[in-house]
Amino acid sequence: MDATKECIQEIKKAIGEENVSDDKPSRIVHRVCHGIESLLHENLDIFTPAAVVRPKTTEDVVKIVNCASKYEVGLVPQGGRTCTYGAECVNGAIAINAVRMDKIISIDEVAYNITAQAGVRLTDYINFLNERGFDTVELPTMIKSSLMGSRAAISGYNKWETRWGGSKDNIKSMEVVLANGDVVRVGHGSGGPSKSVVGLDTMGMFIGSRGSLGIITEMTTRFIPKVPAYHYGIRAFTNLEDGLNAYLELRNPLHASAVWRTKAYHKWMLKQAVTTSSDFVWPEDVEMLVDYHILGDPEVVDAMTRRSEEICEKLNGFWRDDLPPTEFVGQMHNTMEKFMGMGALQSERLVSGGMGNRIVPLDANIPNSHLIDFYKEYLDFLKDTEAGTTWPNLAKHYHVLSPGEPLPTEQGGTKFWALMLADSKNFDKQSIEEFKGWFREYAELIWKHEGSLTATHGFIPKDMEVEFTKRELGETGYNLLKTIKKALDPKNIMNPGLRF
Amino acid sequence: MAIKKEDAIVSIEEFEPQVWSCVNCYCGLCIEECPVFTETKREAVTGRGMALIAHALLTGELDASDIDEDLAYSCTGCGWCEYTCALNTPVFIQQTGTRRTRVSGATLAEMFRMMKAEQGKVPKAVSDALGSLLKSGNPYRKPKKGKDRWVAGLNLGDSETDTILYVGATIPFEDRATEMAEAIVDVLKAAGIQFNILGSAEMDSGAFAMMMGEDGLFEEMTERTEKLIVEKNVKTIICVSPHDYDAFKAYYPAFEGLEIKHYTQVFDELLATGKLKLSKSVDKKIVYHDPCYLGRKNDIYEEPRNMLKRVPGVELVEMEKNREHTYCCGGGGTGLIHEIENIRMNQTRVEHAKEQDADCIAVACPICIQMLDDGVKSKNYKMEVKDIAQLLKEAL
Repeated sequence: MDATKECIQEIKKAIGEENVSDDKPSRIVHRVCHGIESLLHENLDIFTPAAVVRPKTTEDVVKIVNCASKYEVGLVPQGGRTCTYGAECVNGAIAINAVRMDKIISIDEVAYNITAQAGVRLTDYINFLNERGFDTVELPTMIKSSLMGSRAAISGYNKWETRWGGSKDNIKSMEVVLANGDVVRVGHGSGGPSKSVVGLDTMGMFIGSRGSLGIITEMTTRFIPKVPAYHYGIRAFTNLEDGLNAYLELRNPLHASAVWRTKAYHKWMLKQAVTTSSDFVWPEDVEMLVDYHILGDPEVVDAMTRRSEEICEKLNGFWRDDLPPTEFVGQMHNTMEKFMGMGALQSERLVSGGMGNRIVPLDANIPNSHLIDFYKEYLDFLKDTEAGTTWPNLAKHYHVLSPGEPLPTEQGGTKFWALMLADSKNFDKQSIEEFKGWFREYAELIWKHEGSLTATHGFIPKDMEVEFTKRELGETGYNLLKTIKKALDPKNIMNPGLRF
Repeated sequence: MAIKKEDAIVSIEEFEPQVWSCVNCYCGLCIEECPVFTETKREAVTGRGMALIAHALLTGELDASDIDEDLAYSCTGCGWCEYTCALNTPVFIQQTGTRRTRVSGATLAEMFRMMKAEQGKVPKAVSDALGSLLKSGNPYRKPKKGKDRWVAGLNLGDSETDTILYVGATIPFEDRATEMAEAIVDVLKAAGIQFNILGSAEMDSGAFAMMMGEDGLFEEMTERTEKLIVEKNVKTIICVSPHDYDAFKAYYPAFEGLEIKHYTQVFDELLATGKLKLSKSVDKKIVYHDPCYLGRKNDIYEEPRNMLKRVPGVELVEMEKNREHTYCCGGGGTGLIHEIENIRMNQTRVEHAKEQDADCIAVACPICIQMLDDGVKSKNYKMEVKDIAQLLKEAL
């Protein structure tokens, strides 16, 4: 019996045979995630795990880690696998599926902290809070699929990020099983152990680490009281600059306490999106929509609503009857899950029920000072992509769904949220090679504007990862990552597919 | 939209666009409320899981021998994945989608069952039920003549009507389903509705055969049923079972000119128009369990509730999972006759009713009544499971 098989047998004994699946269909089911890495490989067997394990407790995870460490078998933690990068498994590794770790452990209604196991589904977490009269600030798009632990593992994005920040800001503490089997509680602030005023922010290392440093088993997050008043506003713009300037002004840091979210939408996407759900015809003169969500006490919402309207008016914003119902855009986040169905666009599925496309999310983080210039250049780049001048084969199987929906990330930056559509079945070797060339040029454009490749979706093709990470962090920054990884996981058993 | 019965049988190769659509989308919405996943936490048995497995079958990475029994026979066809699927949201699919074009875990599970049948590896309980369906039109290995005797005992008289009550494959071969059907008969009589029952000539509508993944039997049953209904010059079919109702709507384009109704639609109309009057009080706190094939599959949610609200003395409360979010009783697919380890949806559903402190679970399906009654007995709860027709009969 080889080491991996011995390891699996030992895990079966340790956590119960019924919690381990090593049949081939189950292993195939857990090999990839929503990410596009799998689009770039003709043979997906490179991602197929040796087994899928479903621990119920932290103790189960410790047993699994100890077995994996003993036999030096890789471990890849997985949540809902709707992320775009990092949850792909590795051939011969063991996928840890957190679904049975689904208990909400405690809630502190005075401190506004809630502690849950890593496998709690976001919908259950949100319902739990709502039933008690509270609201969540952990609000990603795929709430029905995402698990809590993944919020930390991928450093998640949240709907109300302008006001409340991303998951890295909302997580107060976490329990992590390290590669040597030790269980550690890391945290800051009032949600658990504090690093005090000195020392390292050890929790920060694990946020966004995608399981490469340890297995997150439990986390404490903050929540908020029910918000008493809400206003949704939306305006149309006939030119890109007016729309983007309105977006930038609405998200002026002075407004962030009331404008919890603002977002811009280009007609390239809107024209296509309306066709999935209606017979609506997009008015050609409207280039961009910008919407904003104002929340807080009623008097604050009233005042900010007036101010937002003034901002839009000054930048020639308007609304007309020939535009789609405001809830169409306003509910986009809530129905974004259904927007995965936009993979039907530009495919036979819309007209005959045939095959849908694959959505390729690519969102860079662009400094606000570069946003307008970047957007203009990016639009030209995408037109060139569709024309097939540089990448003729790619152009046959790769199209623009959205050229970018600017959305605030950290103060001063915008995540670009661009979506492409790939005809995955016909995405052949030549398409893959051309895609890598295309991606390199896309990256150069982002770096030219002092941006980063990784905002929400954080994708870099695996065989470019080391080169591109070095490019963004510098050789020294990259070496620091390697040093931390080596210190915490000397046998490289934690998500060994990630390149360090 | 009804498709031809020969088009209802889909191979994995023909289903490839839907498999790819799911693999491309990967949203995983189908997993959240999939009852099999809720029971087992095993993703392989969900819509997305089965699509990924089908994809591997198409690429040759897996073959039929890799499909184990749990994988093939766990799905109950509850329709949650079809309802919630992001790739089923385009207008085209919503308006004209069929079994061939909708992404569906149930369709994939039925294909896996067909593969098992081709390999001759069908669980004994399923193969016995299939044999019995072919021979006697019921899954319980009971002689079909019993249906004629039962119909004779109903004293329907010699009616010239072109309306039939289609009782389906479970009646009168299972006691609880039969009591339900008899209540429907009594209520129809009380409202003065003329109707016939076809007796032993009535076999399976194809609903059972399809769910069990036996395509040859499905063709046989649908051909026989179509011929029978046409020969009898039937104009209106009132269905006892949501499964037959769904089959007639989905697989019988020849019936598009006929009026096909589930009995809850008929009763709701009779009550609304005053042709059926209820006078006695039925003092019960009742939860209504939406059958998957009535609700999610055919959008019939309000008629059963309207009826219950009209019953004097009834306090109607909702389970947390209701309407589109209903939780399957576990009897779909092959669940009625073949138990899978670790899957006890009927007991889970009974717990949902218990949470509401209900005296009675009202159902509108001859499969749900059996499954939930078994669930109540397993839990040893003092709770009744009754069909809405039985409650109406009490209130007459």
